Amino acid sequence: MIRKLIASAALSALLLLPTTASAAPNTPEWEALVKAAKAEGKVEVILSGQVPQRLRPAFAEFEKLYGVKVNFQTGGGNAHADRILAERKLGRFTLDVWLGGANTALVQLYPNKALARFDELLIDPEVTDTSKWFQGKHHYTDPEGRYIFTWGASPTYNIAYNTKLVDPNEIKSYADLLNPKWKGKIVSWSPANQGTGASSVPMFMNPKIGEEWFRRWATEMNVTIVTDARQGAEWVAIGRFPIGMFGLNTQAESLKDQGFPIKDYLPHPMAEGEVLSSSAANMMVMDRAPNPNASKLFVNWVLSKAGQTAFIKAAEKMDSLRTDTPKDFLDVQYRIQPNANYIVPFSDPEYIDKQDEMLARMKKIMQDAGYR
Amino acid sequence: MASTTIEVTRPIRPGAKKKVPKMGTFIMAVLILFFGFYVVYPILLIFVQSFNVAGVIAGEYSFSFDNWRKAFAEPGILESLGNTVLVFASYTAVSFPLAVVIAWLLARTKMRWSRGLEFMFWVSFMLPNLTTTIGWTLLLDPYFGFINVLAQKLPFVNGPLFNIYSVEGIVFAHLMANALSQKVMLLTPAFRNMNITLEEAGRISGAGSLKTMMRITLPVMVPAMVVVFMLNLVRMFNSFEIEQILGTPIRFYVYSTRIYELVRHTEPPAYGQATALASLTLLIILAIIPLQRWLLGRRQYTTISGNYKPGVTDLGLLQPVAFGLVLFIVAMLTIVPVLTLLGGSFMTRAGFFQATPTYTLGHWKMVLSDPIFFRALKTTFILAITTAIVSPVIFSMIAYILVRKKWPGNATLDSIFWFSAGIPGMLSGLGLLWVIVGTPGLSWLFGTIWILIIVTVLQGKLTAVQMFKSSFLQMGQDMEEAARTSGASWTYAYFRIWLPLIAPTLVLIGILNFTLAAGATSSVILLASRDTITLSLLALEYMTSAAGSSREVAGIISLFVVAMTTGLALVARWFGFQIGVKSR
Repeated sequence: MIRKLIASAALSALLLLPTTASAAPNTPEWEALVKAAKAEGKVEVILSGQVPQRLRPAFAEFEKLYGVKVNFQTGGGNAHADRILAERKLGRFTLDVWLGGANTALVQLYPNKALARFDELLIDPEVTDTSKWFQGKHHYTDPEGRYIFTWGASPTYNIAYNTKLVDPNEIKSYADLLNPKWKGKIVSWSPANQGTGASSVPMFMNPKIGEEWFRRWATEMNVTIVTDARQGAEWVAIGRFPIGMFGLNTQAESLKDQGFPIKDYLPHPMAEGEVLSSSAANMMVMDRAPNPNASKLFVNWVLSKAGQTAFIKAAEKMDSLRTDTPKDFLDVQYRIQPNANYIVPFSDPEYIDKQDEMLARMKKIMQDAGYR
Repeated sequence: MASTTIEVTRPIRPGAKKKVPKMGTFIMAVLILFFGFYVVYPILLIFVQSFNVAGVIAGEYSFSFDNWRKAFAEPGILESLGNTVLVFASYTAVSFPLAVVIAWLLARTKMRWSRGLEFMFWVSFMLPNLTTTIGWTLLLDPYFGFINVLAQKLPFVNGPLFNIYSVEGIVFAHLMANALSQKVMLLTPAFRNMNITLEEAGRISGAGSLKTMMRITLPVMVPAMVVVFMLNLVRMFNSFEIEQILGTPIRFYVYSTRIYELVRHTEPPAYGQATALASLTLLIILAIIPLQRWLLGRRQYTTISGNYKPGVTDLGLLQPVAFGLVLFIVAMLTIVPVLTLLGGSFMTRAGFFQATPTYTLGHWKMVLSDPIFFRALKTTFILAITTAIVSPVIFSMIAYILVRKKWPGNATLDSIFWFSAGIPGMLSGLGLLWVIVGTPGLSWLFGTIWILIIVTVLQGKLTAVQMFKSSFLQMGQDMEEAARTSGASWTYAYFRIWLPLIAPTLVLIGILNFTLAAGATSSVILLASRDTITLSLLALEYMTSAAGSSREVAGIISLFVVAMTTGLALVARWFGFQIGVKSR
């Protein structure tokens, strides 16, 4: 009996332990890193974009585990990039890690050589073992494949709809959205916007959808374009427009939770295929980071099984590119399905190269249709 | 190293005086150098960089006209310019005469609760434009607007009565935001500085109240009216929030939203193209400077002199009608946004009674449990209170110099102030960042509260200097001359004579700059650090977050700013009345 009690207590204690405690490498290099990071005491992080801003609760686990404080700032990427680059000109290096969208990093931080080689910072075998990652590799969103690490992705949902006005079975493909029935009944953010590009550009490059679909959508469907996602999603929720597209999903989800008849995704994949979008699930370390050891420890923890589990719990609607994280707390529609045939644009060099060109072509289509 | 000094003695002609620069020349030179550096240098930097098509921050240079060509080659740019002029002309055509009438009613007639009503225009000005627009959208949306829904219950109404998503709706939203309240706020103190004997003389000559207003009061108010009009004109391209929310869905685009998009929604920000578009403001300023100098210099506008007698006119039977009209306008300007802001903060989704649960304390809990909030509150209070105290003192003295002293460089200094409006806030903040980063000896300011204080104190310079100038133009020289003849020093005369007379303007500028400092975003966003974050920057962070409750949370932060400003305004007005000249 006593043995049983001891055994069950031991099992309970094991279950209560944070997963990281057992997973952390037990090497002299790792021990030295932890010691040096503790001496630095903090890591300065920018959280830019929708997904990163939700990550705050995840940091408590890292702080508790290593005694290193995570100081974070939120806000728009552009303003942060302007400030950070100006600081660096002054010889001030105040930022360690940037969690956010790839656009600002690609057009501001990367060309200005403000980023450190990310691949060289990864030392935890649990992280470096690429067999535990989606498609058996690490995903980088920069042309050299070394600086901007993509840690998460989810199937893209471009369509929200009013559940009282739309039967989701009527929309099985993007072609269905060109049905005259929906003329004047779609509200959307502009697909040519940088913010919506992550989901619209893969559609534009998908031969089954492509430029022609966008041209017809813009010219034939009398779409109402908004610049405020909340305004657009509220219009769908109250039935002013049955369908909302491009960038309205986060607000639609919030409205759904507040009891409005709106759904932020269709219950089935679109016929033209599903796109995996990394949104703002990227991580970079700044060159000459003020807390280099804390930064290194932080990124290794973030990409470990425990770190990724904490991240996707906090992010709520973003799956990890690690294949070994538990997914049961993640809604099914946001999970990366192991056998699905996804379009994966974020680490595709062709996509990265052509993104600006595609956005410019989309912008031209929108302008030709009378949108500015 | 040894050096040899050769003294050259020049023969002095009998009777010739050695030319020593006077103190005035020295003071003017310092002012021109300081404000020239602060205002003109960042503008020059931005302009030079607008021709640089290489990496701006990286310090690479490759000059061409590409940015300018691209900016003006955008399809629909002329149309959007026309739309901007249309909207500006429409709301100015309504708001300007209406503001003049309201200011006259409040300041020159025996209106009940005139001080309280005037204060409510201040409150309206303090409320964020976005909140006012959203508040009116909830009432006038053609689909779900409360007033439209209510009206359609009437038997003879088919379809929505109002549509806020229209040009008329945009003009109306501007009027309800601050197009009217700002003008009333700026004009009323000037109307109070009026000698009743001038109006009495008109009446003795047989003129009625209206004729007296048109023939006597308004002509002597020209300096204040010209300044208020021109201050609005140079900011024609600054407004974008209202047009973005109400104009985009109906494909009505204005010039300012294009500038905003280039700076905020383009990767990397297209500062060069934005500068090219914003340069139109400089053309307006180039026209304004000589026009304003000509208008104000062609005649005498003194309304306060040694025989100054304050007083107001009784409109008789028309007085209650005027009171009702002003009360109605004040209610329109304040009730909707205050209800939206305050009521919305307790609703799961502001304005939506269908949400479950309808009411919540969650947004308040989120704000009050954010540790950064209290830090931001403290920083904002320090910034805003310093600005409210320092800026009126500095700018009243500069205005005094510009109006009363004929020192060389007078016109240059005045022009520098006008040029400060040449670049919208979102670009001037960047110019200032470049100045701080690129000037040896200034870089230590970066990220400190000192740079924020300098920016917020100086950001209201144009309005402050021009309003003080119009106040000084109203005042006769005789009182100061009498004081100086009796042996009073300049400082004694300034504090004992000028200060009480300009007290209403002092209070007005103090509050105005407090409001600007507390609400500053684009001018300080690139200069603040996490330790010096302000409430308005925190609100902006919440607004840019995609969370469903972000707008309500940002609204609560705005409420704190409004409450802080209102509290200070009440104290400042009381103080102003104590030191100022009583008009009743």
